[in-house]
Amino acid sequence: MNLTPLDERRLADLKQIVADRALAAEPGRRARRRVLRPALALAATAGAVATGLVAASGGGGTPAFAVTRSAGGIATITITDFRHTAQLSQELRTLRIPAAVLYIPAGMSCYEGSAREVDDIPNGLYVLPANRPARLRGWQMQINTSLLKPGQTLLFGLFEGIAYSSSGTVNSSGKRAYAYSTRLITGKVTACQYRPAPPLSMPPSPSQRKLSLRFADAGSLVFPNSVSPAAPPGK
Amino acid sequence: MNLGRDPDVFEAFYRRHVRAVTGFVARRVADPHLVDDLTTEVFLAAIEGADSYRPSRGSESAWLVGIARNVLAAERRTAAKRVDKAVRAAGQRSLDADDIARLEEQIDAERAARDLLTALSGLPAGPRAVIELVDLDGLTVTEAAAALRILPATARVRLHRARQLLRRTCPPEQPQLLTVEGIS
Repeated sequence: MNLTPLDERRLADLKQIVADRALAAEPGRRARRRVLRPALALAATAGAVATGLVAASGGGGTPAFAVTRSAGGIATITITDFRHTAQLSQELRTLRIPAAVLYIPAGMSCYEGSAREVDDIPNGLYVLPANRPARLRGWQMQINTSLLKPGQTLLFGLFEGIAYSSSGTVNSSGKRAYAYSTRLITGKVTACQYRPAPPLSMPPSPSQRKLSLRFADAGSLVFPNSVSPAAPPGK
Repeated sequence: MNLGRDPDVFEAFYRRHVRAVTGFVARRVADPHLVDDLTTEVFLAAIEGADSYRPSRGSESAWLVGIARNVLAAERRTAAKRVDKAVRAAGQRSLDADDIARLEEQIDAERAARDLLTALSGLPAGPRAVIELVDLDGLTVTEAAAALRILPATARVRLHRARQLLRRTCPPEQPQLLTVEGIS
């Protein structure tokens, strides 16, 4: 049957949700390379944290982050407060884990002019732990550092924004929250050159708020070789 | 059912039912934006509840109609509490002129059905639910029973009761209008 363009657009959005659910249900599956999408971002399930959005947290004596590295080269990063990215990056360097974390404020994009994005990401390079304790607060990821080639760095962009959801970790509309985007890069990681993110085209629909975590007001990580490169600051 | 986890299965399911679901909503809602939004919500709820579908309890259509009824009922409850109507309007998908025109065509096509729904509004809830699904949405009595989670025999009794009540309250020529294009 022929569908109207509106029906087709709705179908595309819904299929993305189904695909996200399938991905989230697959234990030990490598995380999505890019978590942020413009709309209908993530299926809201009990595993919403494992798919990339966590509520603002920290405080109460809970460590802001924790990093461990096993003898086999498996690094485990746990973050409960996303505001301490500089210290976290320092801790990663101390443990010789080739990874870095960048904090991107709401409404901003981060331009990394000295890095180049790598598209060929080996399977198993980073995973969201399948046996993550149910009561663990915050976000956790494991990196198999033995799969990184010399000169490569795993870069996490932590975006501040507003999450809308009626279920999952962020349990109220409009709550300040964080999303992450994971990129494999070569070259030097420098401090972000911030530029205003494109304005949000539209607020989330009630149905999006109902079943998905939609991230508003968040920018992106931009590299010189990004598929749709944004102009660097000042150009 | 894999439609909650397999995009290809979901696409086939969506293509089978989207016209019927849109029609179901358009028979009850006259705002094109709301028709779009509620149609989306019906499929979202189907995705989320796909694991609960049991073919032995009824057809896909009946299951989906049950979901659609719940979505519409939830919308009515929310709308009744919604002080600021702009809250709903602000959250809607962006529709272009063609989208709106197509939806309005479908809404217009369902105008007679909406009039009949108004006529049925005086009936008791139980009989009204059955006659809506059978005479307006085109479900079989068995499918309507499955959608309403009642026994088919109960649905038949309620349908009979609804038609009796309707004959008493409507002019003689009205009941013959009660069969319109139905769900899949």
